[in-house]
Amino acid sequence: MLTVSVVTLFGLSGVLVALTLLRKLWSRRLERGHQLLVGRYREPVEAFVIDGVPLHVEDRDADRAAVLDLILRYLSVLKGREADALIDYLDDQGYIEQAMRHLCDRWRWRRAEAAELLGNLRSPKSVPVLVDALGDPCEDVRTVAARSLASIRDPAAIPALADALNEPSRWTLSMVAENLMVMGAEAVPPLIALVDRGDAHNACIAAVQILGEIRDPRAVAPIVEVLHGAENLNMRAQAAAALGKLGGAAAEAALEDALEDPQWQVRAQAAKALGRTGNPGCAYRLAQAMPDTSWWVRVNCAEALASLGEVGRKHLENLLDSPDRYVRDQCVAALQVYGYPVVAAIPAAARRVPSGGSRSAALETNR
Amino acid sequence: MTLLLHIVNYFVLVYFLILDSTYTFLLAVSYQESGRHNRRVAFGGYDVIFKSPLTLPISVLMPAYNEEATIVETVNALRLLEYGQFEIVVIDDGSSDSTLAELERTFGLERIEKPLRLTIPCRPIKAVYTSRHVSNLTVLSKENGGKSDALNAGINAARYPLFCAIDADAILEKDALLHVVKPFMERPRETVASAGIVRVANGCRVSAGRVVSVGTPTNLIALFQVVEYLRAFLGNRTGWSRLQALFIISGAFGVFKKQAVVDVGGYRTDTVGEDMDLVMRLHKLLRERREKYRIVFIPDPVVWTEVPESLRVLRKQRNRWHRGLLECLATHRAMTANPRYGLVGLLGMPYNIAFEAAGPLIETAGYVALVVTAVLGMLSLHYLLLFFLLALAYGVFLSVASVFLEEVRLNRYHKPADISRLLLFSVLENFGYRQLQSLWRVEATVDFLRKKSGWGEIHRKGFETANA
Repeated sequence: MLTVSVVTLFGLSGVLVALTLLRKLWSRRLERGHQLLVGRYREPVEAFVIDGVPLHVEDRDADRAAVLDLILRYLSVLKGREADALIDYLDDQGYIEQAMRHLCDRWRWRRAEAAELLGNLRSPKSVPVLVDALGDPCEDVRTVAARSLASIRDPAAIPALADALNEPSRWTLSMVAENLMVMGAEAVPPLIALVDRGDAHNACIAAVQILGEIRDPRAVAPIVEVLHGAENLNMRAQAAAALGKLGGAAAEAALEDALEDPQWQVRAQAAKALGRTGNPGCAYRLAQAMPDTSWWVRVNCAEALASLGEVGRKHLENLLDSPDRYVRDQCVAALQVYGYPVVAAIPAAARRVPSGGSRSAALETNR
Repeated sequence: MTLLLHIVNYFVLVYFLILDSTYTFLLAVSYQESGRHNRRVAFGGYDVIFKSPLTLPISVLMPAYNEEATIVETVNALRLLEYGQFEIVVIDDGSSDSTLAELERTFGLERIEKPLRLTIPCRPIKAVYTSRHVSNLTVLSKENGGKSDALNAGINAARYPLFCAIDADAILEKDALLHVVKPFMERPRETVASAGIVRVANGCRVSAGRVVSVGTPTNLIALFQVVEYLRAFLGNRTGWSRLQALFIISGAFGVFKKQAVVDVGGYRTDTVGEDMDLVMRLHKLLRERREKYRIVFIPDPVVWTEVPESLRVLRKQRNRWHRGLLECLATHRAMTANPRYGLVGLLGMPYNIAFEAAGPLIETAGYVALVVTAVLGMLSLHYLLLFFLLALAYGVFLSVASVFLEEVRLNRYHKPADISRLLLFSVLENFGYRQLQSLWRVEATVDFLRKKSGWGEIHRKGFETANA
């Protein structure tokens, strides 16, 4: 019995060894075969795309897979008539219908594969099923569906994508957000509607961020509303960041007001955003906000001032006379990071306090 | 005497039986989990996320002590990482060689008077440098305090809410950060740490800080370690991660939520097993706070590292690892079999104590008892076969299964010759190498009991030299 067990175990190990090697050799062989077929069909597919010569494919799985692979490669770079011809060909061959059917399959990976294929095929008729797939119970299917909708770029999908910003996974949310950004100005009205509703915090925060990235001036007013009125701290902070990207007088005024926000996170974002606007007119308010009780607000104010050019530099140099050594330290660091000649500019008062002392003091007080 | 020998012999057999069953269970869980993960990766859309401004920004912390041979190449490789927003913080931990000079010369470092917010105590930071050429590079120069202390300094200087700790001799794959941050993006509230697989760079072709061609090393000791790493990471940690009881994230590559690490007081500086200790303290704190959390291992974000090619250096390294394990288990012994700490307390700690800490002692005792029994003429064929079955045949099976797992799930070694070599060494490692490891770990246990501390020095050859 024991001998049999030992032999069995070694036998099992032997089988595993053989399986591993055979798998390696078999997969290499399959890959080589696939590449050969891809090479064989390259010319017929090109003739089909360029001259409309009918494409004949052997009725074998390997041949169909090679042609599909080849067409998907072309579709990733082609646009217009050539791409339409390929999509029509795949539609005639039943690929799109089959993928749409698979999107309702009970096996989640098949649904995800189908969603991906539909995205690659870029057929507008698959938009409704992909929109439905945004509500799939499996996160992976939702992610792929969002990506596929972006590839198709059909404006009909925008409201559904905006609703999908409620997604708890930041990964899927990022995918949806990226797609909405790609859609550009067309995505702005539904996003503003989402911000105005303000009922779902995560979706609203994402919508504000996307509006900031799209940089459409229509978004300034609703985002200013959020900055002034939202109770949620993260929403206000995100609104501040978005306004920094949008810029303009209204945004800057709102950001200057936000430097007085009771929450340091909002003040820090507002300071950073003011720096991003690049308007030297904001320098005075930033300098005023420097002696803040929060570390991050001081850091962001100093860096924002340094990024505002000559005017900001002058304010930083003036602040080197500040009685607050934390302010002085941040000013020195910001001036050095931005390559200003600091040593000459640092007055004696600022040089008196060694930064090591400031560091340990910062640890004690964490101001 | 005879009775004692019998007791020892059969105790050892029962031990091997439980050990083998546990490893088989973990391997099965890993097989299932890595399959699920592979499918998810295929649909991940990493190319889209890479460009997204919603990607979580991250600080990459790299402690460096006497790393002049590899430091520039590693930083260059980090600069090319495919990730949205990240900063690189190199912490020169009082190197006695020209690590800092190399960095200054290559990246045009400039000293700045940047005040740091010290949320975790660390040895004095002598200077902070920014780079004229690389906007997201910061270098800290501090007094020597060890790797943990350097990481604590790095955490203090990190801007972003996530940090990635990597070794200075490590090479991250270009998309590794995206992969390892994915759990944080999927479950932003719950995920506190995630880790990727550490692979052996010896034998691979490295160019411009990137592994451009994967191969197996020609050095036999390094080749044994390839199999060992595969078994430990693929066959073991993937399983523990699935069970939500991962108790170690390799110091070579791990991402953490900064606030969680600050809450536990950062890395402990008085242990050589700081990586495991940190994870155990995170478990402890979060369980005590009754928070829902995840600590995740994912098998595809890869960091490549150079492993020792001589027995002398390997022995030092394993001695340190085992002392680290023992220190950590001693520190957190109260978690053992304590339901308050979930599966970490109920399964993870007992597993570590029984198999990882006591295992080498029991295994060595088993071999000694076998020899004594044979010398006394009391060895039965029945016992010998049982011992052979449980101690060696099963070991061979588990090692081969790990290589099989690699081939089926990750398939990093493309040449059939490489896979053949790995399979051969997965068999051979059970006849000599494994026993040697046990002896070294017994030695480490003695050192631990004698309170011997220290890291020992490992001299790096540098990747270009290693693969020239």
